[in-house]
Amino acid sequence: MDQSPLTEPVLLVLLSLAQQPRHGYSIMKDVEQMSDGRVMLSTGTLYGALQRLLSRGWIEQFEEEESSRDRRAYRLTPRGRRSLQREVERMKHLTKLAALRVAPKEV
Amino acid sequence: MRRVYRGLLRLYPAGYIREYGEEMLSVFCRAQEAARRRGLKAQAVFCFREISGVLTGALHAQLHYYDWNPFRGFNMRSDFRFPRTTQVLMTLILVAVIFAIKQGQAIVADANAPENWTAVLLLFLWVFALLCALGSGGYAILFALRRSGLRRLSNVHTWRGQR
Repeated sequence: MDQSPLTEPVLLVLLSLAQQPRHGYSIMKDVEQMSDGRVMLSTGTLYGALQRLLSRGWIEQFEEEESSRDRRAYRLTPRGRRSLQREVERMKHLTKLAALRVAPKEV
Repeated sequence: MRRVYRGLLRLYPAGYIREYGEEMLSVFCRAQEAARRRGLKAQAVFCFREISGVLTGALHAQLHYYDWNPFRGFNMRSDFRFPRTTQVLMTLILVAVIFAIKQGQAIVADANAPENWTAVLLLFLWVFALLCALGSGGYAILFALRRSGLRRLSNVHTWRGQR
């Protein structure tokens, strides 16, 4: 399994799907909202990230019958959720480390 | 802008366009509508972001599709198939090369007279010209097929069950 750190767009896409399954446009809007407008994904970047996550088996596609405009949606797989949790743990550890090393110098 | 975006999508590999093309276009249209409501500046930023995004995305997808590595060269995926025109051209080139080898062997076996070297040179030039002509013809056929969209038509699925 790929253990390399996730890029910010990929991490935000995973966080968006961790809450609930979403369509492409909904992911785009949610990422923008989560990052307070700082990260605005283009469709090329979004679908590049989705394609990589699909090939890793971290997310999966499914078709929605009732929705007329966006039939295809994406959801996190158990494997993807585990990878996301691992990444969050890694970031927590980094934040803790940064707080220990950087904070005393700022005082 | 939508037409430009649709044109830029053609830079992606054919399989990628089949899988995500329509969906990407649909998302693009919705995002464009939202950007239009935000004003001219937002629209300009949106256009720049989308064009740069689709260009880098297409480049990445092309490199990923052919599994390109600068140290290993191209590693084509198992699902890649040469078009029939390429197979025909390759066969013709193989026949030309075998013919040239046979002719060369006959000339060398004949004698070492100076006029025979001229014949070898002429034969080499003839084979080279033939290969150039075949290559140009093949390129012209592939270019014409690409322009006419015949290859894209062959990829059209008439119902979802065929996917």
